[in-house]
Amino acid sequence: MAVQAANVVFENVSKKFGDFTAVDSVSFTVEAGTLVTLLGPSGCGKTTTLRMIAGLDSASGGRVLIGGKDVTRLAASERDVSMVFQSYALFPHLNVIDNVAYGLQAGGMRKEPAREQARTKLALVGLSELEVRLPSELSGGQQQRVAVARALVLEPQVLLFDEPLSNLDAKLRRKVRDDIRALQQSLGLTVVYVTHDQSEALAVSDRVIVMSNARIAQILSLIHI
Amino acid sequence: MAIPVPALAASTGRRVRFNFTIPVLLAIAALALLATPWYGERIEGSALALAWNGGRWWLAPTVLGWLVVLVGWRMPTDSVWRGRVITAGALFGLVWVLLQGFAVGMRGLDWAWFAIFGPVRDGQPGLGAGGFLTLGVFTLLLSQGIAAMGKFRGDGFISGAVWSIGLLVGLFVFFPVARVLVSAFTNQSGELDLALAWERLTASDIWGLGCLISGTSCGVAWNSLLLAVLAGVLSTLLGLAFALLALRSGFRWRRSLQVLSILPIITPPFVIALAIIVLFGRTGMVTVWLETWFGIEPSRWIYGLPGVLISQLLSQTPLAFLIMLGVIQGVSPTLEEASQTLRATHWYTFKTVTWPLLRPGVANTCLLGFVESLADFGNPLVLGGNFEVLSTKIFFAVAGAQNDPGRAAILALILLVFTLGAFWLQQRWLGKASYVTVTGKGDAGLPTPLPKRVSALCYATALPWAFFTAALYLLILIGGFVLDIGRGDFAPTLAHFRTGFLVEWGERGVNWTGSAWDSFFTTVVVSAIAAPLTTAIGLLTAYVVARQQFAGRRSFEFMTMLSFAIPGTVIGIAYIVAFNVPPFELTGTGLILVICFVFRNMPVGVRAGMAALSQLDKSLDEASLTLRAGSAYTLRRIILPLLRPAIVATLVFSFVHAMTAVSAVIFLVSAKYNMATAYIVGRVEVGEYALAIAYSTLLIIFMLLVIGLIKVGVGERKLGRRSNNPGDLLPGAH
Repeated sequence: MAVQAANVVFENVSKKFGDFTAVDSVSFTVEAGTLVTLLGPSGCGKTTTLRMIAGLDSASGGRVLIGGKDVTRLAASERDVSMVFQSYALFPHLNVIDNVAYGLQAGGMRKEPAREQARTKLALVGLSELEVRLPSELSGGQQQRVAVARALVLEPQVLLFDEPLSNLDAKLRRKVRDDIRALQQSLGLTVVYVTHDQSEALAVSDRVIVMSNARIAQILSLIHI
Repeated sequence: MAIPVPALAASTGRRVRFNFTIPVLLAIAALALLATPWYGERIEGSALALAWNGGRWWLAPTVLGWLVVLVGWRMPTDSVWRGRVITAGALFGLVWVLLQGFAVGMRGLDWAWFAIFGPVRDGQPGLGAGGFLTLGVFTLLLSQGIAAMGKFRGDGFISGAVWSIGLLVGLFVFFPVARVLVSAFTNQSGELDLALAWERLTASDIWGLGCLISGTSCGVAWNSLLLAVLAGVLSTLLGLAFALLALRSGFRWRRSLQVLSILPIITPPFVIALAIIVLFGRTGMVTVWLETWFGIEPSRWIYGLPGVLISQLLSQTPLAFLIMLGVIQGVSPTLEEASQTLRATHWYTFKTVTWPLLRPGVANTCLLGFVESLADFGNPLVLGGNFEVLSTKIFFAVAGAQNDPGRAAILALILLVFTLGAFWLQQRWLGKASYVTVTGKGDAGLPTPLPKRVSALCYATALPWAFFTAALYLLILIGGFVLDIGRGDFAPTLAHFRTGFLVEWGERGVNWTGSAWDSFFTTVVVSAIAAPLTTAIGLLTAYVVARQQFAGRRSFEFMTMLSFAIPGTVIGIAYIVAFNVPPFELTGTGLILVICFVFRNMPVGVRAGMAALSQLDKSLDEASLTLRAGSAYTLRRIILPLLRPAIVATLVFSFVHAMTAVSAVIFLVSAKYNMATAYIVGRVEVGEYALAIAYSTLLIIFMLLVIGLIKVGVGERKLGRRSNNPGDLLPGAH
């Protein structure tokens, strides 16, 4: 697969909501093809940081670069970034294959070729048999895999995960966590991953960025054996 | 509006978007200026043709705006000047079209200073297809230019939606109301005359207190206020009694109460007044019965405050009931249980916990009833007699012998101040005093049964009232099928339907010979056109307000909701004043009826859309955006399919309201475009009650049919499990 993984660079990025500072002059680099976790308690600014990579929130100050290109003022729909939402955000009125094909169709591709391409991504997450089901007819783990397939279909430069395990039961978490890591490694993706669970962060990432009170408290590089 | 087309840039494989919007708009503008008739009537020819050889030079400068936009569009996309130039060009075109339209009136120059641009000898009629198309296209070009300047996050679709809605609301709500305000302070020849305005404003038939001091009648302002206060308070109390019965008692026929509450929504507002005349009028059934058995002299007591009040209560109580249902459901039973575990009796709990929690909701309902009563036109018209209120007084100031728009405008101004005052009070005073106790957490408490005396009071008020309502509706139902219900003649006949709705098969096909068919068809067509437009503009507004961030969003929301607070009679008189003269000459057309309905009912669409959107997880929109879908595509493929219930509700509401509305419409109908309600009012005025009732019955049945069809046509939302789906047979990997 021709994923062109790109790096993500934050240069003194801040985000203010009125008087409240959610992210305060944060700088870091996510190298291409690595998995980096944003770790911290709720309200520390990690999700806002993630949303600024996606373009769902626009930075109040500083610069965001993806693949060396300044995207600070670019809208979400113009950025080459996909996201797996905490709630999965599967479109409830579209079946599995149409959910996955959505991004291709939005870009102007016809229905059948879009579905054809979507099928390859569904196969990647092992859900080929379920393509005509509605999201409400899937288990939580299956829903999450559909969300991953849907995010991968546009072959984004960067893939974002917002607390992907929080809606799964304890048994499933470990498996899904390992699946995400395996997928990232085999496709060579750049992944930014938000969690508040320390052990989860340590298990999946190449680097961990610990955030607290809208700032970066610590950056850990992990060596996996 | 943005039409993104992906093209593959060979080197990187990344998609590059080419935006067709501006060139397409420029082409339409060229068509509008070159090849579309500019005026609505009398003078033929496009703007440029008339400017070239018709001596109407003032139509030409619009081209200048067009050229500037063209230059702007050809500028490089990364130049900061591109957006500014497009905006400037479009703004110039828009302003110039409006300016020349107002400056050059029917008989020549209206604004003398306009002569600095050149001499004007001829007048001009109102704008036609070409003029309106040009205005529309320049508005969209303006929005694209502003989006290109980086506003609205550079989103041309959102910018286009906001600016078009804003301009439409400005033109069809604010402009007419402003014209009314101006005409309230000017004399017949259009000059400012404060002395006259003061004289009108303080007239004794508005503010007089004759009913207190001497035997004469009071001013209309006092009449209106008295009626509105009574109607507001009493309808709320009745609604409260019904709601308590439905939710907090073991009352067995709770469900039929709900059915009873739907009826007034599909009943034209004055039909209940008719039924009351049939019962209590001078020759009414009850009156005759009382005379025969008790020797009570027949009188006209029902014409006046009592009759109007009763009929308003009948039509408002169901609304109050629905609101109070929500209010009572919002009181958490756990709070009452907590009170009881503290050894409080039922009565003490009701007095110290339940009632204080209900109080803001009750006050709110009172205010709504107050405003409804002020705005009501049909009931006072039919039953008012010598008891005049503001809304009818406005009507008689322009219709009939007086024809004094200035006086009507002053009355409209007073009515507007009353209703806006009530809404202001509601926002100010009740905005903070709401104790909503509904949380996300499940509430396991059981509602406390009502204290004995409260429950007895509820039964004693609600049950007779329910029977009364049911009896009136029964009367309406049979009234059309008997000889003369007004005089108690119950011989069955179809004569009234024959007069109104006779269909004959002649040699040239079907002949709609009944006298009511014309107005019926007009009503159906106008309502059928208005309903989808209302829904579209209402839901688009809701989407923009609820899901987008842009400067001025709050005031935009307020602006679109304001027409809700303007009484129909005020809108009616405002439309006559504003749209009787160029540049917007619309009175007497069918279009003005459609426009009136769209902008009067739009706030309901906005509210329904906002409520539905608040139930939709925002991450669905965001997921769509991160998948490279623009906002127009997201709206079409994600939001609209999920908003189906709100779409159905708004379609039904706006259709039904268009069919039953009378207050604004009665000013706007013409011989060619008459509406059912106006026709029925006409029948009532000449005493043909039976035909009026027959027509109303037909309307009610027709509306029930249409509501059914809309529900089937738009369909239910498919989100749950589907049966007979091949996918279900496949083995799932659970």
